[in-house]
Amino acid sequence: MRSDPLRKHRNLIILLVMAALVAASLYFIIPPGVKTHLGLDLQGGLEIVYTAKTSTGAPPSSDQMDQTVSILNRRVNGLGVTESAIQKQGTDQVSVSLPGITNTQQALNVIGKTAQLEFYYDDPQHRPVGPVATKDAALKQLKSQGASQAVIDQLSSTGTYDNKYSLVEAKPGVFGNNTSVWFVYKRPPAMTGDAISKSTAGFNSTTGKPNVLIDFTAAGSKQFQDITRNLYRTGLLKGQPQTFAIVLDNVMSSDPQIDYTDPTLRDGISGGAEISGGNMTVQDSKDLALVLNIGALPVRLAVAEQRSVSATLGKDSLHQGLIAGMIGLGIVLIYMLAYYRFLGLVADLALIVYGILLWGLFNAIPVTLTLPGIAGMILTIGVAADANVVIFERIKEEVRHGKTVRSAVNSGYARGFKTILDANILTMLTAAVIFVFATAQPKGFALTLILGVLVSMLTAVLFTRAMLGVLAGFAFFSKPAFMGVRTSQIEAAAVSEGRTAASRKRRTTTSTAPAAEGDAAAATAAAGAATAPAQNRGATTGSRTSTSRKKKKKRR
Amino acid sequence: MNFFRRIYSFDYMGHKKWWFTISAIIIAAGLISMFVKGGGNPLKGLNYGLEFKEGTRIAVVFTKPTALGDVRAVVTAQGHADAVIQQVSSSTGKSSFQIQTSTLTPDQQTALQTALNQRFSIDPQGGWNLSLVGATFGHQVVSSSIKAIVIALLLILGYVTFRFQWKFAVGAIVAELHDLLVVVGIYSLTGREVTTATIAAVLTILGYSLYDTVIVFDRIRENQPKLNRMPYGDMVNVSIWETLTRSINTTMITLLPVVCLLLFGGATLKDFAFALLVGIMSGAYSSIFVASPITTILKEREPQYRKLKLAARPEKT
Repeated sequence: MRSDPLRKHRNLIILLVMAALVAASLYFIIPPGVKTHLGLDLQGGLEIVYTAKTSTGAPPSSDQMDQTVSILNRRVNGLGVTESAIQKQGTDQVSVSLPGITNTQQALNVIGKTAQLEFYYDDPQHRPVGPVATKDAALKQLKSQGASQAVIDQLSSTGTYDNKYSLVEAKPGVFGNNTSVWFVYKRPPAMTGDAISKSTAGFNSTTGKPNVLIDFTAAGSKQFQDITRNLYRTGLLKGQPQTFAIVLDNVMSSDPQIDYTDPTLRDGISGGAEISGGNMTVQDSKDLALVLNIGALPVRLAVAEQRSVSATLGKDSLHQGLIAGMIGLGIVLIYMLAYYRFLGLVADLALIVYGILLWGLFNAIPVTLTLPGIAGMILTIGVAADANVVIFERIKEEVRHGKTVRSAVNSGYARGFKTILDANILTMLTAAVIFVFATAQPKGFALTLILGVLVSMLTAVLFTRAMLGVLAGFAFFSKPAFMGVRTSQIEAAAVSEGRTAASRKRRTTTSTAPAAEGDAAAATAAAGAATAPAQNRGATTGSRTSTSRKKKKKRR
Repeated sequence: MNFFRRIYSFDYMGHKKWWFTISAIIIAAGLISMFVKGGGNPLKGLNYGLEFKEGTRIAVVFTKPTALGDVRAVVTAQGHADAVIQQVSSSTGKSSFQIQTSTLTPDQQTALQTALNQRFSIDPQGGWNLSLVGATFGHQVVSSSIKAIVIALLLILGYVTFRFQWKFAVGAIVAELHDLLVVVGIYSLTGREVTTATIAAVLTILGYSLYDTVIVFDRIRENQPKLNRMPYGDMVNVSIWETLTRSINTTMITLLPVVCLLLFGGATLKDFAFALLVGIMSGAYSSIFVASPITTILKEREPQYRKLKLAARPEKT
């Protein structure tokens, strides 16, 4: 086998390729900590999953969802969050992840807002109900005016009914009220947010309170002028001032009055409008200006899941995970070395290469590292080491059966590989199922598991095989002790091999006999006994020649 | 040392009834716990995490020692009288609490945070960690998890039937169900919280347990033609002896990192590690003591193996 130059070359080529892969991985790893994408749970931040609902209650269309994602993207950019990720999930969900964000409340207010701005006339014809003290009272009043139960139900859950009614709440202070009051307005509104060209956060010149100033488009300007002119004229006719409501997402943000005694308003207001609802803070006004500028969402978003992790907690989790992983890896390395001696050393080297390759692969793709991902990585340390356990146990077994170390290595890999392949395919099958069906968190775990199993096949099988192939040229390699097989074990196994053909009763009586002894004489006798079953098995090499071969190699 | 020598020559298949009894006792204990804790509905006998329910969970850290009662008073004043509040720890003068309430709107969240901050001052260094789950989300998690488990089991059944034989597949699937029931039962008995991490861990256990089983089955398949004069159960015994070192080493190597996770990992990792710990132990057990005996029982009903078994019987007694 050793005389075949092709084989030796092949092993060297494999080792060179592995060395190149390690170098490539190191390129992606160094400097550590910079190139790894950390998930929200490890670096802190905010993650929200929204469920989209249309105002009619019908499932949102794919166009509406795409539009939602694009608007959310612009809103998030407006917040100045880098590395945010906004993705559609299923047919009606959007997940938003904002790493490193500190002001979660502001983000929530800005992102999830529908930002549907509407202007309504306040007269009884346009506002059939209100102000009343509760939502239920408002709905009840509408029902008494002849609205069907279906209308009431939908209004109650979504806030609007087709393009007929809107339920509107006025927070304290907006309507000159101390507590919240409720209204029902008739749709369609006199004007919508589509008419806005630009909005800016500012301050009211007389009260000094924060507000948002709205500039209208040309068409919007005309609409607004019509509304205000109408209100001026009605006020003049009735002899009392008229108001109109500016409603944002079913909440009244202001209810300005048109002063009919001021003749400058005769032709209506053409410039712009001001929103200054309730107790608006400076931050509120800035946020509102931002969402109004970007535009309204075509759907309503309800929070399905929200997770905020502080940066400190994330850092702690990362450290704990890394420490656990390092200790785990260290213990496995020691275990392999203690149990398999020289083979263990090869396996340990493979494990370290495995760690470097997996890390490099994570950074290169890049895969976002999450807590479940760390758990997956640590678990795959076990999977990677296990592939070597399977093979090494095979090799040891073959050596105990009397094969030379080198042919034992060959058949150990050949037979072990089949088992490992079966086992790894099954692990990947289940990981794939998790990846496809599970929700976000376990997905990272499944992905790590799949990548880990694939990389482990490279390192634990291909790499160790090539290592052993190259090392097989050295004389020390042929000593069974290098892989933790004792001479006494060779005979013991040989005897037990002999017993397999016999009945169980004989086996149990003889099983306690060997192993306790262990001198050279017994070893040769046992090796002789082992030849018969070994030939039955169709083994390629006779065990009897093993001792003489060993001597030959030593001489070289 | 005597014990170690004995496990390499023990008649595992001859003591099937013992293994089945042990498994039955563990599983029965878990099922009874689920029934009792769930008040008749076993599915309710588990402590489900927030992901499966709806509501808000807040982990809050205050900069100075704070009494549970005071926190409760503030939370109740905010209109959340139904909140479940637990003191988590109180180290270096700080005290941390976990508050669980119904689903809070962004406004309610702000109000609560402001109120707590004014009264006790929340640690600005990551003192406010909130997670919230809406009503529909929990259902999604449950249904997708169940779907994943069923599909995983079907795939396994298909693969093992394809690679081995249906009699092996039955043994493997029973072992899988065994592990599933053991893990679920232990979660009910210990009252540990079931999270999405647990579900992922359980699915991994299915894969792992099968991995273990396949390695024993692989050896049985290999030994079957070679040792065809031996009663089937004895041949399985030999296969188990031959793979035992591997089984022990693999279990150790996989368990060691998992134990490290359990000892040194944070809360989420601990959750993972606990499920994996129980599952890996159960998986290692079930491949030898559940999957192999069941396949043996099925195989021994085949005429050729029945004959061999009958022929061996007089010797046994």
